[in-house]
Amino acid sequence: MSHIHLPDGILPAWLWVAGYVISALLVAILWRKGTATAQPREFANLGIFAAVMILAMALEIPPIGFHFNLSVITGIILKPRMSIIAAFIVNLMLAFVGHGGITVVGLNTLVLTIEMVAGCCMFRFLQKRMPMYGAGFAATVIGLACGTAASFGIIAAGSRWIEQISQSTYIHLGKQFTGGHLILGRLAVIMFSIGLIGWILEGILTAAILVFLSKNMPGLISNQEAG
Amino acid sequence: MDLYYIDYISVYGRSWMHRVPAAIKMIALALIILLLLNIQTIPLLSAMLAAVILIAITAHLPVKTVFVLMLYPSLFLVILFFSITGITVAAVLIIILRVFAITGAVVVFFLTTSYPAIFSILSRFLPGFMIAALFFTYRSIFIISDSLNNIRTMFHLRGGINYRHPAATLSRLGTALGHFLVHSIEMSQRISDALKVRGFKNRIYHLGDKNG
Repeated sequence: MSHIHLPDGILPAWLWVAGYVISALLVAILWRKGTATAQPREFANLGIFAAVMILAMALEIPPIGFHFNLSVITGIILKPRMSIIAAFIVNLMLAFVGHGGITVVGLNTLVLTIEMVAGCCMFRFLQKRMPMYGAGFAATVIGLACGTAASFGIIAAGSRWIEQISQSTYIHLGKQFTGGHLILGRLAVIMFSIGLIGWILEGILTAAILVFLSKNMPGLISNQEAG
Repeated sequence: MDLYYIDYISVYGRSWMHRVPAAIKMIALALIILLLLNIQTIPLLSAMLAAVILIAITAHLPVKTVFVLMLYPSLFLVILFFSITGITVAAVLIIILRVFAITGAVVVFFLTTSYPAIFSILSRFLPGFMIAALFFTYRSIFIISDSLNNIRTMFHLRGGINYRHPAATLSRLGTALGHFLVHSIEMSQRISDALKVRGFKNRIYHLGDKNG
């Protein structure tokens, strides 16, 4: 529950088309205008870690259906350039099984990329200043908070259209009312309060994984400084 | 969400929907989504949703799986409806029917079309490195899912989920997923070595590849 995949049919066409365009531009820029020069090692990591994210999302904790994303730790290992491609792949493959909309793959890609890149950058910054556990926890919470903020921003951008599709006129106690007003403040409170529980849980888990990896594969985490 | 089972249905299904060429299904899906995004009446949206369910049944798809996948957006819808004041039942129904019908159409499309068939069509629009990355991810899911099942068993043997001790549960889960990541990284190294030996150049060749 650290972030929500936006579904189809809720957002206006201009917004989800813009999501695809911005995602495509980001991929093109990050990949030096489309001339991809990844090493086999990077490609293998990309495939494996995109698969890790997809499988982690399939591990649900009953009875609430909560699942982890492992987005920040994947961002830390893959680095920003590969993160956007991983985010696109994960969202596209999940969209085919109803986990997020097919029309909003571009927007969900942006949200997941923001989570991964923000988490990665925060981890690199905090790694030198804090113990591994604290840096992993803080980076994950900040990364996921940025992702939720991006989701909220997307919904806020499409709020006028959401109001249009949910507006209707009704009569109550003899008076005519027009209902269907999206209260962004209330939406923010719900999204961020539910999200906070998810961020903390994912933060503890990611920190535990990072501590485990730093003991067993120290090169994997420390090498990230060079990227 | 059992990806093994979902993939099995899409690859080994033999219904009329499975036999329709993937390109035709993809065009039909795009048209259905465009239609659903523009329909504003409850009877038409209900008819579209009923049609999607009927297609799922006649294609011999497991109805329970279709419904479970189709209902995924429910959580988002609940949050959204809590944030809208004065929304009428009719408006709620229109939104719910539209979202579930689109999700249902996508799920039926995917359960009757394999990932490789979809990637082959996408290869006409997406750059080669993106298609290679999609194929790698698809392959990797099945390479590491056995490892995930072993880790899941290990996690349960060590106590599994204990709501009275959430910190200990998360620590155990962290160790289990750490093992899973270490195994995944080792697999990644082996795949990388194999790619180097084969002279990998940012693209892979597959059935239906127009540039191959």
